[in-house]
Amino acid sequence: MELLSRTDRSEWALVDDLYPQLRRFAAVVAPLDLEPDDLLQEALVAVLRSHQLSDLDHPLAYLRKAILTTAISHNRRMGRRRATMNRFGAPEAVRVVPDYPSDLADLVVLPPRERAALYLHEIEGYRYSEIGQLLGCTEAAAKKAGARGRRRLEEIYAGEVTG
Amino acid sequence: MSNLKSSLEQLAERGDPIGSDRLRERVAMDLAGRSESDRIRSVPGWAIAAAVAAASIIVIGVASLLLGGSDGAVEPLPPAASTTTVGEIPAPLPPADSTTSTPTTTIGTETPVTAGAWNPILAETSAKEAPPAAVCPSNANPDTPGPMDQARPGEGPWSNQSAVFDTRTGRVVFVDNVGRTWTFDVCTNTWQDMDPETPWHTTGSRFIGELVYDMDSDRTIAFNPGAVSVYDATSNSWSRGSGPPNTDQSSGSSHGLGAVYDPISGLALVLTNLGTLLAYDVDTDAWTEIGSIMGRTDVVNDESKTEEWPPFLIGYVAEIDRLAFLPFEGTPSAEDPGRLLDPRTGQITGSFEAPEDGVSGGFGAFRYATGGDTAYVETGSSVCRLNEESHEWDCISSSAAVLSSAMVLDPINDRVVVIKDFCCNWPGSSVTDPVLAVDFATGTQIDLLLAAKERIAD
Repeated sequence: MELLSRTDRSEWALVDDLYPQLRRFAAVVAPLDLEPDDLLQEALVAVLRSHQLSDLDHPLAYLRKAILTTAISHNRRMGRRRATMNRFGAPEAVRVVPDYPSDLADLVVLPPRERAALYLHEIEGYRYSEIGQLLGCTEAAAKKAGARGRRRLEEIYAGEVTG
Repeated sequence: MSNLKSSLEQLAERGDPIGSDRLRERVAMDLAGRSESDRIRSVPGWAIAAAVAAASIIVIGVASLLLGGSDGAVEPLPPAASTTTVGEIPAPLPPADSTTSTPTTTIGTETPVTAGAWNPILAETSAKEAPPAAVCPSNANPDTPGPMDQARPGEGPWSNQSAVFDTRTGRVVFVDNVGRTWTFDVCTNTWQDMDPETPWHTTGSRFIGELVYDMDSDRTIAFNPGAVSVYDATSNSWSRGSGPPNTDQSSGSSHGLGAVYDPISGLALVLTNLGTLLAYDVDTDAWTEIGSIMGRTDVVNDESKTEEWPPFLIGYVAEIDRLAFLPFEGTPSAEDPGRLLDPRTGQITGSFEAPEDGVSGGFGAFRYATGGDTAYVETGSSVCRLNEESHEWDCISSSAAVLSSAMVLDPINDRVVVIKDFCCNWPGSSVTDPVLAVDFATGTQIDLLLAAKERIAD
């Protein structure tokens, strides 16, 4: 396929290898109104514009960071639309994807960076010093993001139990 | 949260993965459209002292139809034969010093900072002569609603800045949510599915880009995150342009905070998420960085937000040659007003407050009219235009102002065309698909196409 020629085969092989991990990470940090694969595509295109994946020391880490920044950027863009929905009285509840079980719905209200920190720590087992490097922030900031996310979830859960 | 790990696992597995094969295809298609010269252009030296003159639109008689219109359909003219080359692109100016009039502002610790470099390209480049503009034939009745049974764009959600007015063909160019290209003839009030030879490729599963009609080049440019596509109405085809330069890859530099056509330079201006104003020359497929408005307290009053919250570019005010920006929070106020910026120098020269009812936003541009003579917004109860003299808003109460999809100025009939439906309608809300016009001269609203049906959003 001619369209594939811009990026050589080894690059695509790397994409194939990393896809499962990247897709999972994208699903964790993607805003609700953005398909994880769309987010992954946008981040991948942005990186491939200026880098060869094989030239990167840690392509997985770099791509994860790109996915996170793309997700945050998307959130900002959509912020104004959400403001409009508020203005016209769209109830908060309908904007949470209704198919999600309540635990998941609680989780997706967290900002992408907090979700990312929790995921990398709880599921992938990274230390916060490593997470800081992965997310492009300090260890303290990563720890804070994880703790803040956990605290918010506890507050939500406490509210659900008592409410 | 009863089980964080379990929930995180579920979240990681959500949706239906497309697989790496499909992802590679989509990424490759995105990359295929980019030229190898995808860099900020910087040509040393500046040889041409181009006179700055507004692009002229010559409205003359009509000779032939290019898009198959008839019976009152708009009659476009072929492109003008003569062109004037856009001037060379100069290197960015050095940071302003005390001898210039570049504003000096104070941020946080009261360290004086300059507004930064501002590329003079917009002052030193002249637009080519624009192709003649189309007019309605004498037997047209543009105030009569179009036929009800006509084909229409697919059901929303539609993007906001997804319509522009092509002055040469005299039609609104509209890209629907799935990337299908339509035109709307403002003389017969009919949609036409253009089904272009080379279809638009969306980034991901939908069109979320912003359209700009480049008048002197007679092409419509679609700025989608990370990619540019160019629509030529004459050949009815899309081609791929270079995406914006990666000024800061780590922060994500896709455009998305507004795009307008500058009739003086003939370039399309795009504000990136990082608050950088870029110019795109569709003729050479080249990007030029104009300057940054981030970190400027003359643009954003709230010092805590200067670095993170760029304003939105909502229009070009032709009469006074200024770009209009809304603050990030959307509704300008006395404390955080909208700003008028001189695109030639980068200076803020004026401000404006919000319409009485505020501004109902929505990214991707507010529902503001593109290609207009000034900035237009909707408030939820009215459509408003920014008065270029008073810097206040002239508003017309209109049902069109509620959750419209796109607004575009129709210079043939001198009114704002509003395409209804809304991008983010919520479950249970009713959505209809009429096309209306708001006439500021008469203060009236006109039905151009009545709603075919009302649907309830899923």
